[in-house]
Amino acid sequence: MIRTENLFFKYEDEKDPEKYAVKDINLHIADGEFVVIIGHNGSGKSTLSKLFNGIYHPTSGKIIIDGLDTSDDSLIWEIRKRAGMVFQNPDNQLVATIVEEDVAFGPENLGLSPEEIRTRVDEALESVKMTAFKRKPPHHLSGGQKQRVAIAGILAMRPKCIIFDEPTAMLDPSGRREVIHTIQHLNRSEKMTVVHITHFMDEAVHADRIIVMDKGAIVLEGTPKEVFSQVDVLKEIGLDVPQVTLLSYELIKSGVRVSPENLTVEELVESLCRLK
Amino acid sequence: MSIKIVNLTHIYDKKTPNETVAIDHINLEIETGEFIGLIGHTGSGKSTLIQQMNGLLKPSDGEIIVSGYNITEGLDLPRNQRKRVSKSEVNERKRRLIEVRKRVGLVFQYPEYQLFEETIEKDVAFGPINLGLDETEVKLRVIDAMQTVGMPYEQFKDRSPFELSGGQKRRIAIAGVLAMKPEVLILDEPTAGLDPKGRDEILAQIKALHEKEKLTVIIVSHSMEDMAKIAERLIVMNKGNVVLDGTPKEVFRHIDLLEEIGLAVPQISYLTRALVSQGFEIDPDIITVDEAKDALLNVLLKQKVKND
Amino acid sequence: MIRDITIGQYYSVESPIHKMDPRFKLIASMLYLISLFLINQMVAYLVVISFIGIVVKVSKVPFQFIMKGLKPVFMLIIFAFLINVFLTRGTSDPLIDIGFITIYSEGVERAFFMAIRLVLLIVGTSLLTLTTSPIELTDGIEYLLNPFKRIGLPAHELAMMMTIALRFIPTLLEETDKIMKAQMARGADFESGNLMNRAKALIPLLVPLFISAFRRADELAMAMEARCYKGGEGRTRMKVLRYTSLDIIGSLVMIVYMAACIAL
Repeated sequence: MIRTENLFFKYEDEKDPEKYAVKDINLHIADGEFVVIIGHNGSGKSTLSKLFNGIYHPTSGKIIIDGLDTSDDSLIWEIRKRAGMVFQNPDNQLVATIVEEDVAFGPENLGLSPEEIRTRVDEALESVKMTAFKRKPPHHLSGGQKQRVAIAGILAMRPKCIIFDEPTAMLDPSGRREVIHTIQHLNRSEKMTVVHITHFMDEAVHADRIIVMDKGAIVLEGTPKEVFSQVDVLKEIGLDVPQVTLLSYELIKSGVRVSPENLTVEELVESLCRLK
Repeated sequence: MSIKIVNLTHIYDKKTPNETVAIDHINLEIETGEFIGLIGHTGSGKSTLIQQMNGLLKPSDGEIIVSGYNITEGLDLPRNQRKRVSKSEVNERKRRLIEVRKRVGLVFQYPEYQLFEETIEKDVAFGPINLGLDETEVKLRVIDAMQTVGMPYEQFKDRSPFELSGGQKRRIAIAGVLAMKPEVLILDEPTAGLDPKGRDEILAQIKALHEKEKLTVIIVSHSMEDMAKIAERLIVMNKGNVVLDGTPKEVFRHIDLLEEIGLAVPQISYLTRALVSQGFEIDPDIITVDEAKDALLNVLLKQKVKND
Repeated sequence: MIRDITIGQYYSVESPIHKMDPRFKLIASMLYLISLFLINQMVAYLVVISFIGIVVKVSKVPFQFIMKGLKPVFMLIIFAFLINVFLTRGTSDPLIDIGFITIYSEGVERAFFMAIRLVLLIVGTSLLTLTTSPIELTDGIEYLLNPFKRIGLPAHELAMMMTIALRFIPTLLEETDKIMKAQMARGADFESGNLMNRAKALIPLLVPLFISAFRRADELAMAMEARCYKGGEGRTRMKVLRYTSLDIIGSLVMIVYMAACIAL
């Protein structure tokens, strides 16, 4: 679905010629995969997402989205149609004054027929469970609901892949839960390829693969278990690990023989019961 | 300074169809130097409570007394009254509000969005100047506050607040309130939107400040893990009422109640509960990774001795 | 306090007037405005008053609700009335003549009709916004302006600007409230002081508000592009405006009404 080759990117106003926001990224994200990219602010993870969507152009290297090269300007709208993007601030991506009108915005831009748009809007709203709110103005919704409307707006364009750029950073815990459930549902039930960028480690636990970025480069890559067991590396670059994984790590350091790959309470309990 | 909240009530849109009770007869006592975590989901009334404590909202009923000074008195908004208010009345209200803000400092959520001056020094000085302090005192406070948040005065004073990174902007905004030298510091989700590193830095600075100055701190937070680590007392609100009040250990015992009102407990609390039910002889009140590690090592060591 | 302000006060009920096509309603409102300047006789005024009265009745918008819209302009109406009373010179003998104040019967008559005309004007236009949602209104305006595209009028862009403005007004009001409170917590005083001081006190409010508005605009532009927005070209709409039998009936009523106004 997404492939990058020796991808480099530097902001135009960057004075330091050596400072790349994204450095030598070689990635391959398969169809239907759920990939989480974590990293702290300024690690290049957000920049990378904007490269995927053709908002930024690579300084050097290539990005191929579903077989289309993002450096070809004539393909840009086709790429954006196939790889949709949801942003951090739910308020700043809703355009219309009524929920369903907003969801229709993308398909309207694609020049579809009114009947087709209607079908897609209804389906998309159903998919994020916001049908009951379709005639409401966005400012009457909670943060999590607004973000789900934003997701519906992308779904209505029927993309193959959605890139989520820190969609939960501004939400409260219940809003975060709503959005995470929606994302997981899209991946599992609708086979959507998901690239989810975040700095909340608990949102990464259910991913197929985690990519950890620091200073524009990939530092770790693997399944959640493989990545989180690298507690040293993650601590070094200032990221969290689940408390259970951290506890396992501390216990191992003190000589207790539990698995370093415990992510959930159940796993650690099982691991400890075996020792008893 | 001790805070006493008596029978506090707040009703929005009173006597209209939209009438909502945001705070429902709350009674609380907070001792000088306590470090409090205020918890509750959106709409539980916690935002209303902290705004009342800063004189931004006048309670419908009840009072808040900070070290003997009733901060809820004389706050009637002149414009709510039909009659013209005299100049002396306006000035009196202004004076009272200054008295409130000398005692209680409030840092809003995403405080970096309130920065507006050309230089960092001017922005931090905004609060103390509004308190009517003289120039030398203002400068001293600015230097002090910037030092506290780890942004040395000499290095940053002439820079524009808008060229800082997100985390730095937030620290400057917090310094702007610290420079008013409140006796009670209230922070509304000071770590929202920050990455783990930025979050840890800010929490560490608040903790250090609390220890050094014996400042009473109230943090509104959604992160149970953070609260387990730093708060001494947790106050949990739901539907305008205080539903739980006690040490983090006491509060996190009520996993079911907390989940029922849409909150959670730290992952370690779930682990402790599971381990206890599996027959591990550990303290059921364990809430942090360090405690769990010590307790487990202890249990496993005993086990080993017995087996040998 | 700020959230009490309602903008584009749409009164949401089901009525034949609500269901009419916004394009028709826009044109009808324009004709109605013209009719107000055509009439100058008592009988004609009675026709207009009964016409708008019936429309209000059919629209199911409570009369008091419409009267609320008159409150802010009440002073203006009084002012227009007084100006006309005092400044109109009549040919007959003055009604009252005390020193510098001279009032003629023509003045009173003219002032009276002027005030009625203003009231009718406001009732008519507010009826348009009360029965047409902002989104229908912008759609209607876009459609009506479409023919002028050829002479370079950016019809689509204007409508898009209106939509975005309507979308962000509540957001920015809420934000204003938040920043105001945050600055008040830092001791800012927005309530007292003379005009000069008050203007100065607004700086800590306006600077963050503008910065935030620009940031939002930036992010919104990016989000719109990511959703394949490339201007009005090639864009379709989910809801296509269609004239219905209601609009035909409405048109007939308007023709009769206009004919009556012109004839009188």
